[in-house]
Amino acid sequence: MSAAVALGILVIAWEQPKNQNHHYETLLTDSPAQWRLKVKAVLKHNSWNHRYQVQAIAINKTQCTGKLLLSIARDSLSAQLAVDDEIMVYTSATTIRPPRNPYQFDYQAYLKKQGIFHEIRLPQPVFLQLNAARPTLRGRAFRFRETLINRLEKYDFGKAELGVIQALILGKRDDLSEATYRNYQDAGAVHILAVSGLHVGLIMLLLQWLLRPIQQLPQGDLLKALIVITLLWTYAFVAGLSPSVVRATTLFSFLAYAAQLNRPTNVYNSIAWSLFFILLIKPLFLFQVGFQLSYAAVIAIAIIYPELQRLWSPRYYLLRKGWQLLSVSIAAQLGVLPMVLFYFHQFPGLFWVSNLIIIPFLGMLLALGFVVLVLAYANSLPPFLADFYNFLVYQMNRIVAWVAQQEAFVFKDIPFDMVHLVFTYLLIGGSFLLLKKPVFKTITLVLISLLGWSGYRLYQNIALNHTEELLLLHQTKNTVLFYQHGNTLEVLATDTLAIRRYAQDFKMNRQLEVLNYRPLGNFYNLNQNDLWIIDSSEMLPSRNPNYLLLSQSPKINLDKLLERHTPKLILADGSNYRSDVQRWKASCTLKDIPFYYTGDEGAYTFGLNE
Amino acid sequence: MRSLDLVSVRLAFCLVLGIVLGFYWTPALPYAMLVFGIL
Repeated sequence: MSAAVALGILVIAWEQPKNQNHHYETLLTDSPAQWRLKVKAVLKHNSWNHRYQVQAIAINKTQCTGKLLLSIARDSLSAQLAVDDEIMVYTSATTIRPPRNPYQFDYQAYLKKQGIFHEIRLPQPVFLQLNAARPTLRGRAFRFRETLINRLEKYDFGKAELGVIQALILGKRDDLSEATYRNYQDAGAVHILAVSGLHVGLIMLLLQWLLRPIQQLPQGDLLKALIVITLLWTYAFVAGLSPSVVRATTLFSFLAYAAQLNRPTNVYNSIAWSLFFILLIKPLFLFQVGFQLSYAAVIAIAIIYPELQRLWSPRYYLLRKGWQLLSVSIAAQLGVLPMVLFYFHQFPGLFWVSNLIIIPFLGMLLALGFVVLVLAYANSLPPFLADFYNFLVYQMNRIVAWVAQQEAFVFKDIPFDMVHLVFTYLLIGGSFLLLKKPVFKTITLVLISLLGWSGYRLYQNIALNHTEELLLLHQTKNTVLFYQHGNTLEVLATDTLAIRRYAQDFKMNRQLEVLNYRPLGNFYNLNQNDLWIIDSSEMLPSRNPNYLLLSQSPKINLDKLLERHTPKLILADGSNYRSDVQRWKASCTLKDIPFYYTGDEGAYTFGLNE
Repeated sequence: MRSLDLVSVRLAFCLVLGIVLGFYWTPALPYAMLVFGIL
């Protein structure tokens, strides 16, 4: 067992750049270099940039390895790169920034968990595209998927429907509108749109059912398992071999193989072996949300589903099937619920409605989808079939939209942190064991987790009541101070409307109750420390302030001002022009006065008790 | 069915533990090398 722990440490250490001989990080300097890069994945583009995950092949002609993020400014002429494209570019790589304000999405940590530490930004699409190298399997899969999508686009599918079809069968979510995605999220049906465990599992069941006759042959069980596994991987290829598909296919390959073994194996062992081997090869998968959700759902189904079935076993066929489906859905939701709350802070109360309605038809929708794909690829899809499929997807979208509209059942902005997560899993696990075996140990486990939960709440409440904090945020075109005292947050901003969404998030994360918005003034007294704000009105301080905040790029002569006043710290926020900030910084360095720019160092917390 | 033999579950759990430990706590590596050295 200790060897397994040590093995875990070793495999993750192996992923670290400093432990890899030829990682680009060992060749990195501050000056620009000639990079040779190969596109590994095309990421969702934003309004300004095309974004890619790339593999470094060489720096200044020295061979190297390692992944980076590449952003190329969008331009009407520039075509998008595809997987396997190689480019040569003369530039420098920068480290990915941590978030500048508390509780904002930490892109740096997110990418670190994928083994990416640097990015290359090209403000102009100036690069040399090299002649195509030998395509990789992933590159071929990507191109094949693009061909399929192009063929599909020739038919008369609705825009929203085509977006959903692409996501549903091919795992490409780029053409899905924001509104459709949000509907699926609010209806608790977003897992339908991500090709992952659910799809691959359904396809496995479908194939196992279709291939039953093979079992009659000698060695039929093994043959069937091999065919199922081959077909699953063929599907993974069609779906572009994206990480989530590869993950799910690996897991279900294990399950399909285990299912044919005639010895008393159990599902826990298959899940554990699949987890073990996947993590041995790709240890960083462990930190990806999709991976965690997939395994939480599969493990919960394996443990809870049989117990729910034991609880009630209806005699009528339809009722029995309905109950089975509901049980799977409840088990999976119980498994992922704490994680969903932890990562997304919302809970779709009507998940069971959408799942009960859609999942029975999902198998059929997928099977028919494959027929549509094959026919479209052969350019011989009959229009009536395309119309019929379009109609089915349209109806599914309508049902999801209806469920999502029942806003009273979508619980949003739920505060939930790591400690809550641990105690909730303990509570779910404990309650399950208690129902199964009500002995002293299980009762203690449930009570301890309940006690832990409430103890932690109590601690948070006490800590909250003693909190007094003033924060200067980094915002562009806006100057914002957050003053938190106890469970109240005072938002002082030049534009209070623009900061509302973020203020709500902050309030939720800190579990505050009162939120007030006020326009920003020019002077504040913070427990004997003065804060003076010079904004575009250019009102200068009459006496020496402890803190001087420069905002909205005031046209002042800082050198002159510093002859009269010597503040303890001068701050500049994101509302200023960068050129002004550079000038002020130089003036401060000359006068030996500390200077803080939120654009470089993130939000500033004032010491209120100094 | 024989009683549950959960060796693989324990192995997988320990691997997960090792990965988390190694990711968040860099000095864990020498200890891991030591364990392998002893084994």
